[in-house]
This record gives sequence, C-alpha cells and structure tokens, in this order.
Amino acid sequence: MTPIIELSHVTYSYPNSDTPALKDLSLTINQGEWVAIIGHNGSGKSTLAKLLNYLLAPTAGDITIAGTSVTEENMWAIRDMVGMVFQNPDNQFVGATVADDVAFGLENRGIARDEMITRVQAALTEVQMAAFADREPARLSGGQKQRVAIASVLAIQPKILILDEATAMLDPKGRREMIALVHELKTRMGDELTVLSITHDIEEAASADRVVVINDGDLIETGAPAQVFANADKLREFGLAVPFAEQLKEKLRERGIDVPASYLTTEGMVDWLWQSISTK
Amino acid sequence: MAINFNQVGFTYQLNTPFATQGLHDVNFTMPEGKFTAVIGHTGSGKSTMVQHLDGLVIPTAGEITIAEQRIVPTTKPKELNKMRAHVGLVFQFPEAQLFEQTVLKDVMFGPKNFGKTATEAEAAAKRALRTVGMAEKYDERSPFELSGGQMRRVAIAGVLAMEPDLLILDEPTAGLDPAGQEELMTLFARLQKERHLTVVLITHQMEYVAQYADHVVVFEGGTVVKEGTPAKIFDDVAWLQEKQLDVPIAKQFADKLATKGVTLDAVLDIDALADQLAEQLGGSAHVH
Amino acid sequence: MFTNMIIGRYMPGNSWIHRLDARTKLILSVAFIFVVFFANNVAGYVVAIAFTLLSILLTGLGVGVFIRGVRPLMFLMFITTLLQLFFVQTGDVLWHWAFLTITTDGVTNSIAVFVRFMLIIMFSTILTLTTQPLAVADAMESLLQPLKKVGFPVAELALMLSIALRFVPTLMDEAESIMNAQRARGVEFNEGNIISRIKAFVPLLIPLFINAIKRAIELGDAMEARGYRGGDNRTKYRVLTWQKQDTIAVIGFIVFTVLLIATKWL
Repeated sequence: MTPIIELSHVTYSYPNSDTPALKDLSLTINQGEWVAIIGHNGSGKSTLAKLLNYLLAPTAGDITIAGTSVTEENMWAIRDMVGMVFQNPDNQFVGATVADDVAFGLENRGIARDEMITRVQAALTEVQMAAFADREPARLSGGQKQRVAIASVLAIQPKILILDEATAMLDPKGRREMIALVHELKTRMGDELTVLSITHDIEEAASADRVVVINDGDLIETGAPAQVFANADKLREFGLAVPFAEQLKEKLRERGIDVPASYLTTEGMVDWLWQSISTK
Repeated sequence: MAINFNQVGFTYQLNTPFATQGLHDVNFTMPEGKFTAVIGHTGSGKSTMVQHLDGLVIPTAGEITIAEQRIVPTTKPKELNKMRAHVGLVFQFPEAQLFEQTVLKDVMFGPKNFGKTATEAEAAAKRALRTVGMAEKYDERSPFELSGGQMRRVAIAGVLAMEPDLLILDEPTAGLDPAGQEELMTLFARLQKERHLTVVLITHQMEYVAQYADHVVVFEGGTVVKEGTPAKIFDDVAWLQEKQLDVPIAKQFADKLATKGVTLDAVLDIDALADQLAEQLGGSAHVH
Repeated sequence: MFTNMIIGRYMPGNSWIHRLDARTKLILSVAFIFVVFFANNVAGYVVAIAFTLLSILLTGLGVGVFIRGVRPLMFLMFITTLLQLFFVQTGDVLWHWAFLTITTDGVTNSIAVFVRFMLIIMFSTILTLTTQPLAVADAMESLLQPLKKVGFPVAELALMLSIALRFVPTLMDEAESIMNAQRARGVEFNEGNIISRIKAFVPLLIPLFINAIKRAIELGDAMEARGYRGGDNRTKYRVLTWQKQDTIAVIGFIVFTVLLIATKWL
C-alpha cells in the first residue's frame, strides 16, 4: 500500500468567507484505491478536489501527490499526474469536436501530431466513443460528453483520476454508464489508476473501495462502504441518502422486526429476508 | 385545470426542408387536481410536450384543451397570454431565469407581468418566498449572491408567486443533493394537497412516480405509449426495460425476493414493502 | 430549434471548392475585393461576372442560394447605387429635376458600383457557404503566424475564436430556454411598441450574460487542470493541408486578374 495522495492538516478558506471550507484535514489515499468522498452540497468535498491539482492553494497545510509537493512551482507536473472530470459536461468541453477535445490536453503538452492521433484514438476506444470522433458537442448527451471528458483525461495517462461530482448533472442512465465505465477502467488498469469520486450519489459511493465522509469542512469518517453506510441516522444528519437495504431495515425495525445490526447490501438483504421467511 | 391532448402533433420548421417531427398522435388526459407524472427516456418528446402545456408552442396538428382554453394549429400565440397567468412552469435548472437586482423583485416579476399591482405582487412574492423556505433576510439580497440551492428556491418562488392552478415541474430536483431533493419534493406534494393544484411532473426518478403520482403518462418516440396508474405502469417490468425506463427500487427488490420464492402483492414504495414483509416475518404490519 | 440554423450558412458538399484549403478561399476572397476594382468597362464586367459565375458553379450549390444571399444587402446596394446615380456631378448632364442630376459619369459609376457590389457579395458568399466557420478560424490563425514575431497573441486569439464558435449552439439553446422561462412568467418578446420590446430583452440578456461568465470561469479551471498554460509550445491536432488543387486555384485567380487588367486597354 503506497500512499499516492497525502493531505496533511489542510485548511482552506474562500476569499470572502469567514468560515473555512476545510478545517485541518488530514487524509491518505493509497495507490490503486477507488475512494469516494461524500458529503452534502457545501460540505467542502469539491474544495478538496480543487486543492489536489492546485486550482486552489491551501491556506494552511501540505499536500503531496506521488511524492511531489503540490505547490505553484510543481503545478504543471502535478497536473500531468492528476486528471479531473468536472460536474458540468458543457463547461469543460473545449474542442470543436470530440476528437479535438480529447487532443486538447495533448496539444497543451506539445505532443507530436502523430502520437496525438494514436492516443486520441486509443482513449476514445476505451470509453466507447470512437464512432463519435467528429461529432460536435452540441449534438452529444450529457453522458456522452462526460465520457469524452474521461477520454481526455486518459489520453494524458495520469496516475490519478478525480471525478468531481461528474455524475451530478446526468440522468440515471448516464450516471449508471459512467459508474460502469469507471469500474471497467479500474479493473483493467488495477494499481496503475487511482480513482477519487467526489459525489453525493450513494450508488457511486457504494462502488468504491473506501468511503470518506466530509461535513462542514471536517473529515467525519473513513472506511469501507459497509461500515460507513451502516449508520443511517448519521448519513441523514450529513444530508446524504441512505442505501435502500438500510432504509428497509429501519422500516422493519419500526414494525417490530429484529434485523441484523451489520450493514447489508441489497443482495444480502434479499438473502436474509427469504431465509428468515422460509424458516417461519 | 384538467389537460387533454387529442391527436396532437408538432413538426419543427414545418413546410421547410428542415422539417422534423417532434410529436405525433399524442393522446392523453391529465386529471384536474391530481398529480400526473410524465416519464420517458431522453429524446422521447416529453420536453416538447411540456412546451405545449404553457402555450409556448402551438401544435401543428390536433387539439389541446387546458381548462377552458382550446389550442389548435390556428390559434394565435397572443390568445394564450391569459392562460399563462394560471400556469406555473418550472424548467430544469430554473435558477437560470433569475435576473433582477433583488430576490424580492425577481419573484415579483411574474405577478407584475400578469397585471398585479406592485403591492399585490410584493405580497404574493413574500408569501411564495416563505413557502419555499427562504427567510426574509434574503429578500433584499442579490439573487446571484445565493448558493445554488437557494437560487433554485427563489426561482421556484417566482413561479409560485403567480399562484397558478396548474404547476408543471420539469425535473425540478436535477443537480440537487439528496437532502435538497427530498425537501423540494415534499414541498410540491404538500402544495398539491393544500391548494388542490393540478401538478405535472416530468422526471426520471421512478421513486417519485411511485410515491407521488396519481396518474402516469409514458412517452416514447414522440408519442404516448402507455397511460395509467403507477401500479399499472410498473407492473410489466420487461416492457419498462425495453423502453429504457427504470423500475422503482422497492419493486425491483420485491421482484428479487420473488425469484427466491417470497411472493408479495404488488408493491411500489418502501412502506408497502415493509408492511408486507413485517407481516410475513411475524411482526406488526403497521407502525404504532 | 435554434440549433437548426446554419451558423455562417455553411452548406455541406463535396465540390472542388469545398475541398480547397480554407486559407486559399480566404486569401482569394479578400484578393477579389481589390481585384474587382479593375473592372470598369463592358469587357471588364464580362470577365469578372464570368469568373464569379464559374466559381459559383464549381461549388455545386446552385446559383439560387447565392442570389438569395444578396437579398439582405439589397437595400444597402440600392441606396449606394442611387447615390452614385444622382449625386455624381461630373460628365454630361442627361436629366435634371430640382436638385437631382443624372450625368453620364453618374450612370457609369452607378453601374460600376452595382456590379462590383454584387460580385463581391457573391464571391465572399462562396467562402461562407463552402467553409466551416472553424476552418476559417484555423485559416486566419495560420495566415497571421508572421504576426507572432511582433508579439501578437495569434494562438491565444485563435483558441478564443474556436471556443467561441464551439459555444454558439450551446448558448443559443440556453437563450431559447431562458426565453421560454421568461415567457412563462409573462414576458412577451415580439409584441408591443419598440420600448417594450427592448425592455423585454433585459430578462434574457442578463441571465445569459451571467451564465456565460460562469461558464467561462469553469472552463478556465478545466483548461488549466488539463495543462493549458498559454499559446507557446502548443502543438496542433487540426491541420490545414495545402494541396495541388489549391495551387491551381491560385493560378486560376492570377489568370483572371491578368485578363481583367488587360480589359482596361480595350
């Protein structure tokens, strides 16, 4: 387990604000992990993402990515290692066509044209958008634009992929496709890709290896999804959704049924229920 | 305000080489004072249909009746201005419509356009702002200083201030976090009951359909493919999957149990599910 | 559906003209504006009209589109022609009434103005109808490269232009949404006197403007995150390639110019 992202006592306050968006936050992400950072809107989770590629500079504390300090001097080297997909599919789409957009990051790095062509093609194939290479963004759905955004990141071959609420503006189908795509990439690339999902979508968080809960700038809890989702009341307190199986457990408890205290996935819940019913 | 569509069609840029059909043979009824949900995958024609509900576009075929207003291809747009005063249309990401210098002025904009005096408009605006949960201290602030969620509530207040009889909501919770989504839907459900509004909800979230809708209209390929109660619509899971529509999660769960041999009566929401399971497990079926 | 509007009125096709490099078309369009002033007798007009017609036919789009392209500017052309006709005082007087005079020079000048105006509009339309706006932007970037030596930010401007073009359909869609939202709140955009029509634009323009700024800020963040640090050392994915047919087009144009100049001695 090699750490790849290390935040140490990081504090950040927005210029016109008296309360800090992040307070003395320390967190380590290991190489190859898929970590979901969850919290309600305004909890500080997006601020956290922007500190990792120096779009914002911490008011206090240090951040290290793969051993390199995140500072103004190193920011371009950092941005070679960290790729980010933003929330609004339109407001990150620079190119006139899909292929142009994927090439944008490569153009910025002075990559030779022949190599650009190869990398663009490869990246688009990975996200299943190769057939749309000449399509204009105005004729793409939100989900398609986000896939192109992922391709643009992959073309740079970074170590870390950050999804900053990348599914928040998509319809359920688009959201599912995105999560499935990230799953696929993670499986294929193993340790070579570390994924950070900033989200309030419980399905996306459930796919991760580890969940980090942020609330009002504080790191509340970190652990496996099972551990974090087990406490429904706390999730609600932080403005988050409670997974269905846990909601059902609560309802059954209200109706006088003894339900297992530990976290259950949907499958786990189904199994427990039919077993319990058939033994009645 | 009951709504009726009869063989309605809409062709974009009719009589030009660019003509494309948006809607064809659309038939449905949305009952007065009830909550109707409109579902269908992206591109199925829902949004085009919604524009017809407020007279923003005139159909190129068929007949629409909204309360007493009849709309046919020959209807002049000007005739529909009166109707618009009673229709509240909340678009997706409605915060994009904010433009005034203060929150209060923006919410007053709608009522003033429809003939209310400044005093009446201000009173209506204040009522609407309190209804959506915006405290008085924000009244004189610029809408652009507010958070995303607050801007949305102001935009919705701007529509509620018109005190419409018909409320159309196009994915009103898009982009909000779970707490925000729940707050908003609870508000709409409450308003519908209290004010006996006719509500039309366009949504992708089947949970809302299961929980709030009295009536459901399903769109595909520019036309209505099914209409009925939520129970009827969600009954045929294979059909829903073919139409690329989700099934409410409670029903999915019940179906999974069914494959393990646990049979339940049709369930759509989590409470109904819990009730039946509790009975089967030997506890009390109802919450005391 | 604003997005069905053809931006820059580009009409897809596969003609010889369509396939020319955008730079060729841009250079020749500009050159034509100057060269056409050499036409000032019947022979000259014939050569100029023939060349323009030939070019139009080569686009494969039909003469009709080009005639229609002149229509928006008809009024301006009409006024300019009339001004030449009635207010040129040199030459022999042909007709006189109050302060209006028609002289021989007035007649010849007005014909010259009319023909040149028409031909310039039509020839420029060849550029806009057969070249995508983005290709024109690329062409301008390429042609302005020499200005880099004097510190002119060619690459940055070219990127700005291409981003602006990319956002045109997006912003038009947004304008349509905002207009619908405001109409639902009682705004009437196309009715009332001139004052109320202007006032109606406020609830459209303010949100559009503010949202555009918000987009720009988010886009700036995204561009930085993707390694954009200004125009130096950037390579280009989209390239324009000069081909044999472009050289032929330029030679053809030079031949036309020579012929036109020759007509001055007839």
